[in-house]
Amino acid sequence: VTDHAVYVYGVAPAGVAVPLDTQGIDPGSALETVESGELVALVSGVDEAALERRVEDAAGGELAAVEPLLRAHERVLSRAQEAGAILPFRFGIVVRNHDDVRRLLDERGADLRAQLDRLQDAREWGVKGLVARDALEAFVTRQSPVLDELAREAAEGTGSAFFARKRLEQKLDSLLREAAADVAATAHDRIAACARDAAMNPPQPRELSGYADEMILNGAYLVERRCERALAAAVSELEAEFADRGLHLELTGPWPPFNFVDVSAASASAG
Amino acid sequence: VSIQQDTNRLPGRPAEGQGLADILERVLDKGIVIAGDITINVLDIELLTIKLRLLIASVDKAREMGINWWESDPALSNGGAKAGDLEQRLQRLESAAGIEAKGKRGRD
Repeated sequence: VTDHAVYVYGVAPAGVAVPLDTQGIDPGSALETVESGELVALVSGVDEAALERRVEDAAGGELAAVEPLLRAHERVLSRAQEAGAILPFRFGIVVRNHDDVRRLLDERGADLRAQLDRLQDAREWGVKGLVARDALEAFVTRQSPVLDELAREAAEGTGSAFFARKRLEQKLDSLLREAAADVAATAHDRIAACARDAAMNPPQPRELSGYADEMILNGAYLVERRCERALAAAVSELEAEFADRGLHLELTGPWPPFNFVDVSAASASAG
Repeated sequence: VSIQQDTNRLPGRPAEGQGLADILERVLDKGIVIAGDITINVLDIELLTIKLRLLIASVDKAREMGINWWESDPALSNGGAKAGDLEQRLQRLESAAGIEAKGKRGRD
């Protein structure tokens, strides 16, 4: 095959012994490093045409065609992070050859190094907040006597009962939403206090998250290694504190710091 | 007791495929983008990215929260001449995904 190109996973400071024993996106191509200046890129050979076919299939609806590649991309970077700071690239960055990798490192070196500095000694953690609706509803009902009144009205056999039922639904809905937003904001702020940087992402829909409960918080936090215990403690405390609202927090990670790289800075000086 | 068994006790825990959503939203939506003549364009990767973003958070849900990734993302919106093309492909995707395009997508 002549169209062998180079797939780039991410960049680390030169001198970091990046582990190369992980399987990359192409089982036939081992991980390699390409060094230039003070940076080292984590790469592997890729059959560009084959990658293109997989992406095409995935874009056509066959998510399974790329799922192993997406997982491999993340896995390589997660493993690399065990050795030190790593700057994750987005999935699908391909260059022609090792010379172009070096060119990339040279041209973007200043920005890439500055970004790596900001990530030093810290890792990304995810916290997802889920609420059990029945528990939150019970909480809201205890807090708001107006719901009881509306419920009594709605239970009457009169003509106004229909409208009372409608009002009850709307009121309950808005109270649930307020309560959930309040829990999410408090949890995010409290967890962010343990972090160097924080990001709030849109909650994942049920179909994709696979959770039965509704996701109300999908946060990412850049946490210094020495603060990871504090992070775990904050998560447990919050869960206990909001147990009466049916809150469950799930801590995921450590992740490569995908949420804490400056996308635009690196792409600004294109070409 | 393995971690797997531990986590299975968590309420509302997804039975399988756990973590895929977390991986998708990171590797396709975040991370350094290198644009320009140094990189080889993998055809359809923008399309794939958009499609998976629709999966991660439906368009309506995203708009509700004031998020329009495909409009604010420099990797996608700096396409210039390609923007219209992308728009059309997105519309095709939305209709394929059964998502009604509500009104015109705001652009500048």
